[in-house]
Amino acid sequence: MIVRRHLFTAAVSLVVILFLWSPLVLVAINSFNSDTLLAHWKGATGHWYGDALDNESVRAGLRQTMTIALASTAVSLLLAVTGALWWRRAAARGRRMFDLLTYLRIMLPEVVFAVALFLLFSKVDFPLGTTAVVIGHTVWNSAYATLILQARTATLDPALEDAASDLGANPWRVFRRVTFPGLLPGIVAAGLLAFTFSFDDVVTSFFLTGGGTAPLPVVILSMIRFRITPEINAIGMMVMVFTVLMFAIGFLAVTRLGRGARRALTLPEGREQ
Amino acid sequence: MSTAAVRLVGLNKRFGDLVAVRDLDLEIPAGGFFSLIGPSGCGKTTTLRMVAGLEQADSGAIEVGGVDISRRPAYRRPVNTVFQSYALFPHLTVEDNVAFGLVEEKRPRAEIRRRVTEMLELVQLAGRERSKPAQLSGGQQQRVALARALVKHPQVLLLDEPLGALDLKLRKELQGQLKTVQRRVGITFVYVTHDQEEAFSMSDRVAVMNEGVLEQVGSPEEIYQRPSTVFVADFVGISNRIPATVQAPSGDGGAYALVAGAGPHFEAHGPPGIAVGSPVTVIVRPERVALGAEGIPGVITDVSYVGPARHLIVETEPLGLIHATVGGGEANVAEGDRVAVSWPSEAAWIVP
Repeated sequence: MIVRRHLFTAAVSLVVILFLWSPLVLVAINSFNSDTLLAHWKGATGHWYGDALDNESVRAGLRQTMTIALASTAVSLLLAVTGALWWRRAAARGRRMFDLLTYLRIMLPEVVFAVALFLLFSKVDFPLGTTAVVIGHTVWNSAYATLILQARTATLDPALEDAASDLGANPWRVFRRVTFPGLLPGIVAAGLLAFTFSFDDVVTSFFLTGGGTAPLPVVILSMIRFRITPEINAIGMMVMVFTVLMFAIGFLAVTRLGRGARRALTLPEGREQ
Repeated sequence: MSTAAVRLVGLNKRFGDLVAVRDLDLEIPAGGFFSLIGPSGCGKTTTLRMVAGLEQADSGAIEVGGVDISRRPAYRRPVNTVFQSYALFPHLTVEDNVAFGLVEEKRPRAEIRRRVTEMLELVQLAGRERSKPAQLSGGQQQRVALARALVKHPQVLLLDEPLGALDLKLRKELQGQLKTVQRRVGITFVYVTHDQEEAFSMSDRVAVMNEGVLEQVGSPEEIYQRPSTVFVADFVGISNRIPATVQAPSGDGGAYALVAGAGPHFEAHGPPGIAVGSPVTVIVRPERVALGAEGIPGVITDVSYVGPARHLIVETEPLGLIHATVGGGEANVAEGDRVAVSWPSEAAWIVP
């Protein structure tokens, strides 16, 4: 009985894993397949990577994606840090309202915001293009970043800021020397997350790009509408490797930064008011 | 023209409905070790934070060295604080923690280096410059916090229960060190604690607070021997409280003749000006109560041995239970013994 139940769960797991991972494996294999039609394995080649990197629309798309992701990450971090710092000292009512607005930006379907912004921008004659996409990405990116930074500020002992100002630091210096270093692991984590989300976004980008340069995911989408070229497999692989690398760097950075600071930053027990 | 290091005038602070500090007037003399004691929530920490500028007073004035600083932000006040949680900057080394305030003063590098080194020697932490706070023990962290505040040469050093998180043995050791450091640097220390014994052992003067109100200020001995309220008498140690009525001022040296209920007549000292006929409480410390042949008769109902002494509870007919502390060597006391208790008249103190 037990054995059979194990067999069943094992079988289901295996199917699920195959189902999830086989496309990625196929992409990886085919990105090196020299058969143009991708019908059979006709030997390995690095040719498609060269093609992808030579393709001007791919390169422009990548540049555009980088620009958008960096800008959206920067604006999101700014909003998230100031928001989380305000939230920490705010009254209960203000906090609830702030939380509600943050969660809504995450829970509402992306396409709703994308369409809404598209309609709004058309109405007020705001040009579609890079800035519009950055605004669109910042809507949800800043919400994710805010959640991470709120969690981080909760671990900051307010006595540290008291101590800094007691030692002669004005409010800006307190932020610069104590609050900011305390938030840094959160800022790194939030920044990487926001960058990655922006990097692979299609929906918002698609609606708000207009006639300008499309970011990479939109470029890929339009490429496969005609036909699936081996080049796309190569692009997919590169994006995948890049994303995994980003997360690996981020993880290392956060654990490194966090290790020393985490213990001492948490509130000590038994503190009397 | 005053020698007060800190003068608080009519200080008030509320948190919503809670009155934290009420009409506080207090002078703290320069150059000494001053303690502010009281139970949890009595307003002592709030008072300290108002002096530091970390809380804003609702009304009243705060003078440090004769200058009103109540309108200045914390970072422009000539006082520094040692926090209960130490509040060491976790991302900075010991050296950088201590240098923090001097960097804010934009002191030259060489001077910062010299003063930090000196200060770390004073608190016996030379050699730990490059450690992070998390690598230090509680006692060491406490000393870094002390060094970080003292290195600024504040006019007044504020200490908010800095030994609260440490175990008893370490506390005793650091109490001694704190006192020594204070004598050496000569800076006025204002020390907040709920532990009266700790305050007494270190302080030149002590102020007792209760529910936001200042109850009494004086030397530890004054506070202990001549408390001005029943609260103070209880807070600073065990006391026998005997309800009595004043019969007559006896004339010599502020003594009064009293009668306790329908019972014994006796003498006690007290502040001048207590009206004849007024009901009062007389405080007698257990260690001043003697057992002997003469005195108020009673029966020992409890003996507890605490090493250097024995605590006895004697049930007396006219005065109820009397606590007495006698030397640990007196072997001839046991529960059920009939004894007589007495005390010298100067050991009895009247609280109106």
